[in-house]
Amino acid sequence: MLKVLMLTPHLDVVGGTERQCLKLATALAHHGVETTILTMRPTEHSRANVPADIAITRLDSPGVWVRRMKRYLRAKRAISPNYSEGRAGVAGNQPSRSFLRELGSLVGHKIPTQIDEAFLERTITRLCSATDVVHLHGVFWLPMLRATARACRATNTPYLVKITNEPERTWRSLKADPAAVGALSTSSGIITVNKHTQGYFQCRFPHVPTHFIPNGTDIPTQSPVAPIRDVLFLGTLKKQKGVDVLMRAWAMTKCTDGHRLLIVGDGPERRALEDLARSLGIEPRVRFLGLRHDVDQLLARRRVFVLPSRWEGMPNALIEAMAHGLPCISTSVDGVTDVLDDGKSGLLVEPENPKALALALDRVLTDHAMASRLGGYARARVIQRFSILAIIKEYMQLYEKFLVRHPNPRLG
Amino acid sequence: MCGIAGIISIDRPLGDVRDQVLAMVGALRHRGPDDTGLFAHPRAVLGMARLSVIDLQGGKQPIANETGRVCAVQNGEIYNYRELRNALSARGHRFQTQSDTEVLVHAYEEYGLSFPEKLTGMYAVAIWDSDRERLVLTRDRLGEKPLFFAYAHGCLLFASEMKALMRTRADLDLTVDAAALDEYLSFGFVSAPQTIYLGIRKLAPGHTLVVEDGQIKITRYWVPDLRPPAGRNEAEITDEIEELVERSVRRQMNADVPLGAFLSGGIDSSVVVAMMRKVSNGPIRTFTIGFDDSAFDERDPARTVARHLGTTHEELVLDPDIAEILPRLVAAFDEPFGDKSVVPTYFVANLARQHVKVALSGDGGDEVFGGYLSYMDALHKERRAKQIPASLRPVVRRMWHVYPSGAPAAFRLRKRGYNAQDRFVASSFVFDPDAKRQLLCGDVRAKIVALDPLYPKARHFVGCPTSDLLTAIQWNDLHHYLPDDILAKVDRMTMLNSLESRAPLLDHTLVEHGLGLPRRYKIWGHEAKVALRKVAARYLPQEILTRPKQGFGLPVKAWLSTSLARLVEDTVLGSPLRSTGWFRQAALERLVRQNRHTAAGPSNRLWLLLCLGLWLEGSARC
Repeated sequence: MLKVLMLTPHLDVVGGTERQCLKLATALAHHGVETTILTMRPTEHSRANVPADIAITRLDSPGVWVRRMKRYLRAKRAISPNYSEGRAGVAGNQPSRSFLRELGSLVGHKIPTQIDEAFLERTITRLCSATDVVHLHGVFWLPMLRATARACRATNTPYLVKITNEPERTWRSLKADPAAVGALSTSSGIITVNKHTQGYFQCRFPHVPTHFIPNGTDIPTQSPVAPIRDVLFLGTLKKQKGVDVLMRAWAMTKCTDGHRLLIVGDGPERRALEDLARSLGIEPRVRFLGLRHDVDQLLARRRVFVLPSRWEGMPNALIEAMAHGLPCISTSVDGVTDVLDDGKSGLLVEPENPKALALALDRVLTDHAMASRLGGYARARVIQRFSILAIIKEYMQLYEKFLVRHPNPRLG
Repeated sequence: MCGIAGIISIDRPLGDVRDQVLAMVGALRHRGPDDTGLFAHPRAVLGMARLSVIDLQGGKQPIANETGRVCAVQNGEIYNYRELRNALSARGHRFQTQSDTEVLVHAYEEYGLSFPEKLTGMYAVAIWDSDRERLVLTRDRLGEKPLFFAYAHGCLLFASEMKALMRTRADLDLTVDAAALDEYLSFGFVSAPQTIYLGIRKLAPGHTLVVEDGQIKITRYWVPDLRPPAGRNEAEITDEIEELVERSVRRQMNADVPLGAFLSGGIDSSVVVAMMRKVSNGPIRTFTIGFDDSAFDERDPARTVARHLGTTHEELVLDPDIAEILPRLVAAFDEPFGDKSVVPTYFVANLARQHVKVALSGDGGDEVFGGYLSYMDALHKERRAKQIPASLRPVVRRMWHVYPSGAPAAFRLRKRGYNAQDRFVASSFVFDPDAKRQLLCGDVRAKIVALDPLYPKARHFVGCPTSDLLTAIQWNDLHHYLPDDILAKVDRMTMLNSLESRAPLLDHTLVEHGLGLPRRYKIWGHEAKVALRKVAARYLPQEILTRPKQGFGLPVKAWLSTSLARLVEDTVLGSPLRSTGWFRQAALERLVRQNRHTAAGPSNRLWLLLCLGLWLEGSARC
């Protein structure tokens, strides 16, 4: 039986990476893979979300960082609903950049990581003895990357590293630390969630096989066909997502009667966006729903899904909307272009171009036949390429390559 | 032999980058002064500068297939192109020229991505397939021809030398890689896939890079397959090796321009020339350089071989203005490169170019047949380690590791606990970890101290299919020292003179047979390269065979304290190294002082720092 050890810094902050990790672990467990997740001390909530057949190893470190981290997260939860517990909405799924930066500065620099890294390394080494493959989700916490590399090298265990952030940003944080770069270059494989990242990392680590395996999603039952009234945006309200462009586009559309723009999510730009809606005079046609916990129900209604991002990694919300068979409009940026084929499974417009976005919105809102066709194709595409079953198959193929262990001559 | 370059967009149409590719090709003109060519497609632009050697008129590049949909540029030579051409013609491919590059296009069509497996030669090839919108980059098995690449803004850029990549408008990440700097200080060069820059990579030898469907895939197509000899006794094994060397030399003597050979008076180059004499009746030109100082002079044995084999021999006594030429030689690498034999290699190539356009060399003989003194040393140490009873060995090994890793002279003590392979790696350090700790300061020191000092070289033991120590260290050198030091040096120095150099001893079949020889045919007692020596004994006078190995004898120490003293003063102690903030000034001064005043001064270390300084100075000027 294949034994996989998954590492993720935290299950508490329900971000895209962590949610994918959990989803993958669950699906793998159903396929008879023995999965262990190593994470920081999980809360009762994350424990409740994990199926019983996945073992969670607590990282009860005597080190300072766990306590500090908990205190930090507690403080964060108190001030921002983004980090609340519970099945967070999409808005909470993407930890904001400032959050990551703070997290980095907190765990990477201020805290004496030396002791903790050693502890982490010992823990991973211990778990490696009963593991075929180690899979590290995300590299935004470098001590974990370094500890994994050292532990796996010592025990001759293959380890895979999944890169979930934007490649440029990830590389910038990596390259300052040769040990972290070394950790990636001795890995058995790098997994990326979009093609741009694949090329980017393959060129930086030419001797490490770099794979493109997108994030997977569950396939919901098809929602009933009904005329479309609303336009839906789901995501953190920050500059990256380009909601301001969407607002400007909304002000230019010709479909004014009875159509509403629903904005789900919260974030640093919310106040500014509300002001923008007022100044554009579209306030009555825009509704800010804030952070919602019923994302699946929101997507299950017939709506146009819009993601006007300026840049993307792997847009989980878009894939989920496509899985529900919604006609989708997005921008032609890396990450999105891997998911949507323009004119087939959705419409792609240039980023930062409200005029083009308005035209696309008009087309989808007026042409019901086209909207249904786009939605149908989108759903088919997700089932074929992004369903968790398809993704699992790719991962299983990848893991199975490592079942045959090569002897390590350095251990002589 | 040429320079190739190109820009490929990963998944969307490319803007007009023809002028940029032309600029790249312009930077490679020394590699190919005879002709330039350009191929443009909405997604790809390929360019090349050509040194015409085979089919001077018809061999223009880029070259396309019958439909014009598959297009190739190549740097190097395909030695088995005639065999391939016949095989492909029989399968219905039509050829328009006599050139070896055209074979690549049709071989790609016929065999797909596995076509490099069919090739014998030294090459860096780029093929663009318009139908599949696919780019294939591939590099020869041993790494004779270089290929660099970078990824920027959704584009892949590639070129034969890094200076071409830097001519583009692409925003490449030219930060110095601390791990590469560490490797340079340890071994004197930076090995593939790293370069000194974080944003540029080398394609490793025997690898193929494919851009297709928005993704980039790099795979290895050749792993040496050790072939034990079929012969049962010494004579049969010698016959076998001789036949392989002869076949390789015969293939490599194919050129439509004058051809010669480098002759040092050592076994390797002498065997190559002897085989040239055997397969050809025409005149053979050989080239040697030497020094006035008899301790470093190799002209006498070379002259003996030349007289014995009846070649037209040219020699040159080297008395270079080294301070003037060295900055130019260092600049040819675009990254720090500390092998001091660049100097004689440059001059012998310069001498040869005055008479011929192609020269054969004995490069690779030491790696393939086991000729280095360090190999004997490693075997000797292995024997000594075995004197400790096997049951005690792990205890003794661990004992050394009790000493804390950060303490003074830690490496010197702890390396006694290494296994034989790691000890071999440690023996090739120029600056060992202890020395680096003293030399470096600040941020760079912290970064470098955190790295595994053995990793850059020791990683090549992984995948070695044998437990024999000698084969394993040959294997290691074949993947590390040979491609990125020896062959990089030969390529840049000959190309700087627009001369093509060919290495018959690096034919991949010969390499596989050489590595697969039993140990007693490699090193036996104090005799190295036993098998090749037996071949040589059939053609060369006895005095050549019994001559002790000279190594790269160069009066470096004398240079550093005389003609290079000024340059050392300006570069090592002056602003280029100081402005980086990497080094402790006191440590640099001590190195210079020691070299001047002690007999066995640290000339290797000083040379490395001098080359680093010259590179820094040169790159700052760009």
